[in-house]
Amino acid sequence: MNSKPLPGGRVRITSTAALSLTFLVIFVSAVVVAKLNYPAEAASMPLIIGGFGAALSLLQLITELRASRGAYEEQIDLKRDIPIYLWVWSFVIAVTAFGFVLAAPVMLFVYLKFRSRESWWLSLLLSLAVLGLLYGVFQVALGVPLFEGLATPRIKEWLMPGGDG
Amino acid sequence: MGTHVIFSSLIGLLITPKLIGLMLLAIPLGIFFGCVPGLGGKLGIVLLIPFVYGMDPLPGAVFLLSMHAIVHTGGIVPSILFGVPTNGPEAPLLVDGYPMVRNGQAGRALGASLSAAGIGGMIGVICVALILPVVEPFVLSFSPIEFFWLAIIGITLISALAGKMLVQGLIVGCFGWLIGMIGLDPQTGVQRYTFNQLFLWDGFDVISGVLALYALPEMMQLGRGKRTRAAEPGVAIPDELAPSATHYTFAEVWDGVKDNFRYWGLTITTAVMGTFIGMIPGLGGEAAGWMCYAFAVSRAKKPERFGKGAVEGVIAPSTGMNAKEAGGLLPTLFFGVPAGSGMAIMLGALIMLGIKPGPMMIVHDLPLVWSLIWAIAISNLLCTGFLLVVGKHMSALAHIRASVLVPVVLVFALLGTYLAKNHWESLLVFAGMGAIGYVMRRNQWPRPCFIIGLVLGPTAELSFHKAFALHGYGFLTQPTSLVMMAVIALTLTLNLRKTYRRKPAGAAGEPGHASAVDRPVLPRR
Repeated sequence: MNSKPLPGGRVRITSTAALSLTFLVIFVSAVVVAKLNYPAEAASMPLIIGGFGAALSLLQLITELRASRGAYEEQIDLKRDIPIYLWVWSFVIAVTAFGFVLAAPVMLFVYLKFRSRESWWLSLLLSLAVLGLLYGVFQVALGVPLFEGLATPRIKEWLMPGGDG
Repeated sequence: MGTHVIFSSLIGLLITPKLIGLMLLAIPLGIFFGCVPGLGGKLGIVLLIPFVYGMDPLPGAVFLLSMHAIVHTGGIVPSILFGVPTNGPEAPLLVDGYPMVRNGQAGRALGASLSAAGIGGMIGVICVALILPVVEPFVLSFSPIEFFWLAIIGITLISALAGKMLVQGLIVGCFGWLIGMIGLDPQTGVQRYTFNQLFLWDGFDVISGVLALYALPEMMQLGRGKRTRAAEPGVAIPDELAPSATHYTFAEVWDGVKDNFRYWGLTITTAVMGTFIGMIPGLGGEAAGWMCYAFAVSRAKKPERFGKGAVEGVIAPSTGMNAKEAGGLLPTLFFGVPAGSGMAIMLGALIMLGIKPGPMMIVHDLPLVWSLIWAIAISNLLCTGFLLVVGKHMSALAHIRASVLVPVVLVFALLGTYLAKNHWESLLVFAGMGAIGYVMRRNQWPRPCFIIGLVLGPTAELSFHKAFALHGYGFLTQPTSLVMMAVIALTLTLNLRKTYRRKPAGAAGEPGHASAVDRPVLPRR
């Protein structure tokens, strides 16, 4: 996929067609799951909404595929969009693994320094501010139980076997 | 309803240091979310969810509502001074506000607009105060039949939100409704679409959905390039002005304030209009701004002045967009039917705080309702006063670097997603759904329809089962149902007619055909 107008003639899987197809798959799956697993009363609304959504998605998919044969300007540019999406996943995976207090400031620093190319002092300052906010304000002052990550307790256990964690 | 409830709520708000403190904290935050392009009130609510986590319902709701009520006031400054409408509702301000700045009337434009916003917010509250006693018996007479049809009317308004992209809007609305079905079926108690995952057992909450479909796509959009100045897509950033053009004196600002009294008829009328527009589910802030602007043009003796720097063109949308905030509270609190996508998110936040919107609020929680209404009024006044004095300096926020904003907002979006349900799996859903939201955003599919489906779908289903249990299918032929069906048919017909008259310009998938909500389209000057 690129951001330039594509020459006409051939049917292409554009991003909107892919989106319509995704919705079609979701709605059809929802209908199948409802029909096979739920009693009639519980399945009625999923069948109506899923069926209606599937019909509309199919209609939209056909429209998009037909439109893709003409001059079409693709809105998704994988070269620009994939990197930022990978950054999002890296934040999510880091937080899932190591929790908010550890992962968020570190990932923030890495992003600011290496993706945004901000100065060392600004990257460090913002990361410390977020650390202070997450740990000082949320965890300590407000007593909000922040997720500590899936790996952190195991690392703690490994570092301090028999400790209180 | 006694007047003592009205005034005791006000006094309670004013003499409780915690509440006043939260409102004072909410004001700079609201200005921040209003001034920074790409954020806005909806994101503001969801990003502040972590901060109200565990708070009592009243302080939490006062904080969020105070912030949300002044977001558009905050957005006035960059919209007028730099021609950057940070959110859709501020777009009408560009038409005359920016030319006023070009004409060397920056102070007057800001003074007129900011004071109009403050006055609009106050008049909105007064209108609601006058309407409440009338609405009370009406609200209490509602049965499940009316609630079912009200929810369906709200869902039908997807056709208005979707603009030219009706099919896409309906698909997204159905998707929202389907996601809203996750969890316990209200009728049978069967777990639907949970796939034995504990984190899905109590359903999919609005906050996570909004963060995934709004916050993440917005941040990805800002983060994909190396732009230093982010504007709403589809809205052209006017040429840079000479810095001297945005310089002004306080006397000029005061002159603008006086314009509201010079055009007092317009100020009051558009404020009342805004309040009532705010009460209609699905219309929202943009409609209020543009409709009030159109009203100002239609009643002007010299309409040709508009678009070239007419101060009425600044006053009308400012009063309308702020007055609708108070109006939007009524259907949201008393019917559980949000007036717009912003109020839909607010509804989710209120439920998370332990508030149960519905007709019983008018019986049991009237002091809370009044506290919220007063919170809107007070925050509007404080914000207006604050911005009239230091507005020029706050405008620097419009130039905040996206490269700095993106990772910080991302951290808070993740935090909000996690805290909404306290399940780490929500983080994975956030990233996964965010991809769908991003493709939708790039192609301008109408994302607000997702929220409408997510919020109103389950309400409609629950009310349907209740009405069916009481009356069987006979409820469909009751007079109320027939009237509601006629309203729905009329709404759909009008919207479909409007949509398909403009074919093929709205051909699906074509870039540049945004919904009225996602992408404000400015009239030609």
